[in-house]
Amino acid sequence: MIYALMASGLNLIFGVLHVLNIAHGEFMFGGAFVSWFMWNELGFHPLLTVPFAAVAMFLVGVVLQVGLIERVMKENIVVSLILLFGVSLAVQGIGIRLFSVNPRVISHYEGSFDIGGVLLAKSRLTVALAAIPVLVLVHLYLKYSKYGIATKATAQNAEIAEACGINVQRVRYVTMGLAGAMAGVAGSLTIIILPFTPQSGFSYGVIAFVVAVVGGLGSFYGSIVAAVLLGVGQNVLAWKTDQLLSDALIYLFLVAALVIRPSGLASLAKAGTR
Amino acid sequence: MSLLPLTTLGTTAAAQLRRRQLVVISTGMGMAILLFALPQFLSNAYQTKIATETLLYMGLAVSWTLFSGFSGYVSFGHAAFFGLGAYVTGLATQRHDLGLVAALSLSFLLVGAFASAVGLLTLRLRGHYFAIATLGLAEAMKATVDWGHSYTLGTFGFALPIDIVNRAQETKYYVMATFLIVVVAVGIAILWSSYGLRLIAIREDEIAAEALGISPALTKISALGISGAFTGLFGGLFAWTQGFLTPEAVFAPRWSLELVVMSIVGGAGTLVGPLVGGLVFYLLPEVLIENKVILQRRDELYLMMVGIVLIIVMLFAKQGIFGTLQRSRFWPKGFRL
Repeated sequence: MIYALMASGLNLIFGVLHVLNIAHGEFMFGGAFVSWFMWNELGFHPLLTVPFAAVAMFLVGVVLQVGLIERVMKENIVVSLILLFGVSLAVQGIGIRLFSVNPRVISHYEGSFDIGGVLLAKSRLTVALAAIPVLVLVHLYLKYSKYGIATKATAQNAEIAEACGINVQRVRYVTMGLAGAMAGVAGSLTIIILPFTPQSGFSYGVIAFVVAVVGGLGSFYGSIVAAVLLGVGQNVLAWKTDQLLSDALIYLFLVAALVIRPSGLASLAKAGTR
Repeated sequence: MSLLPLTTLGTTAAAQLRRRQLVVISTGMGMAILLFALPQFLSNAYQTKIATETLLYMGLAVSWTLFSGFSGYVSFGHAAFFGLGAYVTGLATQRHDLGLVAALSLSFLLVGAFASAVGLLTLRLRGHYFAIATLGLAEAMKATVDWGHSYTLGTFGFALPIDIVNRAQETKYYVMATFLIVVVAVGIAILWSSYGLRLIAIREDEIAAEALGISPALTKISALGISGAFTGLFGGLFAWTQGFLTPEAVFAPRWSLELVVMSIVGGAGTLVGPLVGGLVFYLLPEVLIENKVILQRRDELYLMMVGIVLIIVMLFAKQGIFGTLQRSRFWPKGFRL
């Protein structure tokens, strides 16, 4: 579910902005540490901190888009990618300065539920359940709100959308903010399950990339399906065979999937309905 | 490989080009001599080690440019070739008692073949889909090495045989310098040949290039093969100079990323760019460490500085350091390096 939040945000960015956001993991770090700070210093309930993390990362996303990315929109995709890699490194550096490299975790939920003989950690269940309404909200936003529809129009064809009177530039700001907020939520939920350091964001970012690609770049729903498949698949394989084999197989499967169908699961679904 | 098809140019233009090429060759030779003289001016083994590693980074960045810089197909998977090269050399010496020369040649050939095979599969993808396809490659290789631990000696890595590794730091420096010169020479040969022109034509407009009778597939795959072979060779040299390797270290995504960053910040699509990039990204931090500005590579100040440099270069000099110089009016027009 965390993968789903990360990857679908990444895909929104790619779909609308045609930018590969390599600093996506750093949004996650931002969200995680907003939550951690509020829980640890101000004594908030962990789930209550999530909206704050979302709002904070929304603002960061908009500022990043207005201040930096907008300036290189017309350039080759590599330019924005390296720019964002720079952002990513700078944020990691600042993060270490502020919080040191020690891992932090919100240890609020302890113990586990016993459901029909299967043990589920309380923290994990809470997080999975908390992630679903967020995804549903984003879905409703995209489907019914004025901005959501404008976002989709921009993703399909920015020039025609502009000709129809959509302020494409503003759509880009909002999209970056929204994707940032989703990653922020992902971060503040992750830190409830697993310890987080200023540098963990980057590796989550890489996983999100993989998920986004398998799901189909630019496709919001494909990435959710891919996230669930990958999360479940990796665990089942690790359980049936040994851990090392499952890791190797997952990545080989990925490369194979790309070669056979570079545009991902979403295009498979489209081909099926045609 | 012939030089540029001179018959198509006017005689004065041809003569001018010849003259410029001669200037480049003689400057290059001068620099090569300086490179070999350098250890005389370094005061200790540590400095020589840093110099060796700088050369390694430059060599890798040039290898990357041979394919991605010229063809415009950005590869994020060169860590896979680098790591494989390191493992081939490591395993050949450790498990099969091969000498260093044999092991390095094996790295060169095997990784070249592997890269061509990867190209055969993935280069059907155009534009950034290729870049994305290469992202997972290094992770796949690392997972495979972990999984085949009975042969590859597993997650914790292994040390190379001591009688192969145990060489003076200066010897390692000279070997590294030699191969850097070789790869730069190969780069210049490609750039000035019709083969290089074909690659660049693909970068500028693949469909138009195909219409002119160029086979994009063959050109791209062979270029990736050459680039991969050299990356593998430098991987092998890395294993040898370090004396120890783990999957975590050699397949780390940072190899792929740093090569791209060095080449593009130095000057995208140029041969001098990666050399400049290597200096900025490897030597500069080391100098700062020596002068106690920062404590170690990848500490927070270093990360912040590199990040900010990247942002500034991409905002104000999108062609990279050398690329921007080459486009300025101080550089002879139409002459690319």
